[in-house]
Amino acid sequence: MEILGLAIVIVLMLVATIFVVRFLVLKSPTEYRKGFVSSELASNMLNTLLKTAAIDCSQLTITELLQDCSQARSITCDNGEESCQHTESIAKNVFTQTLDKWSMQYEFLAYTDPKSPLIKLGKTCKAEKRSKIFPIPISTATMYTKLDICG
Amino acid sequence: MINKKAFEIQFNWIFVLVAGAAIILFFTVVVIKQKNVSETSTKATVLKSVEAIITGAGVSTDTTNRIGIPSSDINVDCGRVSIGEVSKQYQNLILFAPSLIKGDKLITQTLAFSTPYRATNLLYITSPQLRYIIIGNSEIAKYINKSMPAELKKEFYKSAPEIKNSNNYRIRFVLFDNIIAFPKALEKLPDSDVTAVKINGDNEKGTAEFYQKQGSSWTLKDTSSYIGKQSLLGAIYSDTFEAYECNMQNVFSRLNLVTKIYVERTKRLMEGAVTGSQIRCNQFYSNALTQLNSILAASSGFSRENINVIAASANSLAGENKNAQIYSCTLIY
Amino acid sequence: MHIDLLNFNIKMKRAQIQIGETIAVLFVFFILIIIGFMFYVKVIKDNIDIEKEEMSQLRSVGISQRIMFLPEIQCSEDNIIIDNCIDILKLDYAQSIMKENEIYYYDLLEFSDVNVVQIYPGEAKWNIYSRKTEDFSSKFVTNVPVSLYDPASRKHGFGVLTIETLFK
Repeated sequence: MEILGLAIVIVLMLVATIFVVRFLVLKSPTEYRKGFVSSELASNMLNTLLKTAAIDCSQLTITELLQDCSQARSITCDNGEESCQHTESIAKNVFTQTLDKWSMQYEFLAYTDPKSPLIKLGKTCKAEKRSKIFPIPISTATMYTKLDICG
Repeated sequence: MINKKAFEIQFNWIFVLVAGAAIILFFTVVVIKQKNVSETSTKATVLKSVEAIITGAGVSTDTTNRIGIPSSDINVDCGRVSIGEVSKQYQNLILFAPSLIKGDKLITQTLAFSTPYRATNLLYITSPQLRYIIIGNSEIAKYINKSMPAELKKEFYKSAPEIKNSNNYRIRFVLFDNIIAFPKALEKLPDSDVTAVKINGDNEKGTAEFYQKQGSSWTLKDTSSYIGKQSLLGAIYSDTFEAYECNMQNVFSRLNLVTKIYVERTKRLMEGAVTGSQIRCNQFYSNALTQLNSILAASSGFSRENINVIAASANSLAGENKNAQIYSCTLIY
Repeated sequence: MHIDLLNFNIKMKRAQIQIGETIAVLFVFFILIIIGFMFYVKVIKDNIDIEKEEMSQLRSVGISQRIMFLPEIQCSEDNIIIDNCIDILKLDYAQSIMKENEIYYYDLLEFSDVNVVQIYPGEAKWNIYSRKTEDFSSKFVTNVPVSLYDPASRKHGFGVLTIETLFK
């Protein structure tokens, strides 16, 4: 009889231990900061980039350069680059010093037709990603800029 | 033989009693300790919520929130928020609140303090259990009634009504016309639980007289000043003259720092506006700089004289900014 | 007489065995209690560490938010705040004001190092606040892309606000 009682006590203790280990010991800290950082990053990055003025292109903003890139391509910058090339080189410069430096994978696209983007930088995200799309009005339709940040 | 057997049985009982008492004592100590830890932990959780509200207030303006917390008594002092023995000290806290916030809900409101550029955000916290009685027939009385969150337990009367005791832990009268006779129904309440503020002035500036119940009448504690609707609301939410003055002093310290930056920025704008169409802008910046310097000097301390100077300069500065906008100059703020 | 003594000895031995048994049970019981208590303390300690880590993260987010909304550096247009934008004319002077009033800003920014780095056009760096401690247990770096507004040319550049927060 005593053995049975002892067995029950041990079983109860084991159950309690498993419960505690499962819910308390294996609990990992909630990543508040990661959520804060990644939620705004794609949006801020794109928003800030589109407002940026190109110093070699009569201080036109990236938005204005993209509008020209998707339509007439009439703008030639001081360094001889066309609007598309110049936008790409500015974006590349910015991403190299930010997302690449922070070891973050990304994909930047500027397109009117997603199948043939005007500008494509970075690599396509294979798994989870944070995405932001900004529409830019042009005379014929709407063009889009999209930034995916992987992970 | 019988005696020895009796001894053996008694010893066994004593032994069991001692062991049992030791076990009970052990668990009692553990339970009491755990209870204290749990209570302190709850207080710390509430304090964390208040800290989060204070942080949030710095980054969002014109918001009102109703926040649920574990039922607690929060004491708010000049630069100090405490719940029981758990407290958090701040050097330059701007938090207009009654000295005691009771209950399981908090009502928070944030407004920007602009003279006319934003210097800081003002945070107001109160309890829905605190009763606000607003009495006045002026435009400012109606405006203040509208500005205070609907979630508050507030009553608005054009003239002094018959006040009944509805068992609130504190009552705050906000008077815009004359000081009213002390309500008979509230005479039995402790003196510290019934306070009043009498406002003399308009939306822009004025004075706030802080009263407290003393027996069956009001006693004037002190008189302070306000600048703008935001600080007027501060005088309403703070139930003591000292708390209001302390917060306003902190507001002025921040205004002083921010103004220093605007002074330098305007100087740089002036330096850059020396050619062609920019010359007209230069005139606006020069006028603005005069106003900014007077705000800078007046923000060194919170006083009625300084409030008058700041209010006048803020108006002129707003005018210069409008002129800058009309003539497509870079704005001053 | 001899039988009485024998009976007494037997009873004494039985009583001793009983007491010994009770002591052994109590000993095992207290050992179990101690083991349980040690386990409980370990679990509580781990939870406190987790909470401390979460608190540090929240404080880091709070500090980052406070910096991003400081009227000392934020852009505004007729007193309307522009999000994620830093006015570089304000920035030039804010760094000296914030250094002169380090104790005032410590209340807001605690132990942290705040830098604004211009990435395009050209490169520039402003250190607006720096108060570090050697004795820290956790460190977080938050990078926020920001627009750098030059009121003189009324053009925006691209920059990064880097906030390094340290906690004891």
